[in-house]
Amino acid sequence: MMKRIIIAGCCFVLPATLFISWQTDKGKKSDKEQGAKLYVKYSCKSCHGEKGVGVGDLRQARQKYTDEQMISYISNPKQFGNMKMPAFGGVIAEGDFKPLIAYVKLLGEDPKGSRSPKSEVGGRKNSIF
Amino acid sequence: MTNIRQKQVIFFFILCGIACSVAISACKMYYNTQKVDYRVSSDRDGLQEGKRLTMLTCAGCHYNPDTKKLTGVRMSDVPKIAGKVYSRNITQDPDKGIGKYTDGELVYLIRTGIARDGKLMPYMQRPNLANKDLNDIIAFLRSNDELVTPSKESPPLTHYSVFGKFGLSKYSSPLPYSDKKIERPDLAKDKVAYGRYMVDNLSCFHCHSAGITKINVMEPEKSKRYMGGGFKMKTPGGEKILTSNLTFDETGIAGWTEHDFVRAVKDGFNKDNAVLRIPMPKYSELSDEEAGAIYAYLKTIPKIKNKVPRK
Repeated sequence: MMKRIIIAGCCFVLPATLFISWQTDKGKKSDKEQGAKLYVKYSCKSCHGEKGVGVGDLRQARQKYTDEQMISYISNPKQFGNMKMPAFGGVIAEGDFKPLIAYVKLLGEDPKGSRSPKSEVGGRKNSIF
Repeated sequence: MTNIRQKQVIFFFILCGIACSVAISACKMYYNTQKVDYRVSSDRDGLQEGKRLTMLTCAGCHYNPDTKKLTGVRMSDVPKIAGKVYSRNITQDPDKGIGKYTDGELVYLIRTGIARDGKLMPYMQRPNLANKDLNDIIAFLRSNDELVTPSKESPPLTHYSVFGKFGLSKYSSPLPYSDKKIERPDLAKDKVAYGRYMVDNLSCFHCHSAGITKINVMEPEKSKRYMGGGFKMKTPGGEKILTSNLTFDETGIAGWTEHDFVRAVKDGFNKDNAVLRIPMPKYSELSDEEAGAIYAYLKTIPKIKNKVPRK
């Protein structure tokens, strides 16, 4: 009897776990896709490049700022001493901040430990935005 | 037969040699300089205005968001074929910046485009900048404001390729030095003249005409396709973009209100809420009246039919 219960449990739990993990991966992928789309839609890519390196270096954003600080920065860069970046407050839709920031944080991930490209702006790589 | 072939090959190489030497000798990058006796005068108002003008006219190229100073950056809009071009550190550091420049050398550079070592820097030329504005900018560069206090942070030196040198020497030349009196128009009395002055000295026409090699720095209106846009440029992120047509043709900004225009110039967003991409600077230091004066001036210039898609 016990054996049957264990076998039945395995038959149910294993596929359910696989299904949930597949759904989570799918969710993560679609979040990433949405973030990537917003990164292009709001022209972040134009200045910061595909990999977050152009004007400033977005790869360090995740280490330096919390999500709330990043929203404040993007909404009003002048507050953070950045005189030249446009203030996106009121331009980026409220609901778009979360996936956009999640995507910007992904730019700082370097899973393969590969050598990162240098910031093209001043030949330095120690700042963000 | 072999003899004839050999002669042809030798002749070909001689011809190539001559062509190369002509091209190299045409790449004149250094010129004689002239000593200018000038000492800036400064007061509190002048320094404040100098900072504003420096942010408007110099920061677009020299401001580095990393250092939050005028330490220079890579000029990503310059085509790679021309070489690696960096704007210079213009803080007061004597080695990396402009600490060794005299006031007169700075005046000479901004008027003629010739640096103290004789190097031609045509993008620096501002022949129509008012004397007082030039004075205030230099006074600010000498001030103790954090933007310009000495910093050794500096991008590498510009390295032009052979094509870059050739292009620079073919399409630009130093301007003659003149100490004639130039005044900034009075905004309250002549809005259009003030707008023209701004378009000239903010160098709007450098990018918004047919191309940097087709402009007339002395008389901007004589630039090819003046303010009609369509010039190919590159963003720091590597995207290829075209500059906008800023004439009041229906393919340009005919449908824009003054409010739309002021917002675009000062805040960096067009009327469809899309961000104006670098190299277009954000001129937040302009007053609404000044940006409005540019709008008023643009209404007076010939319309150009040139539909420029936003890429």
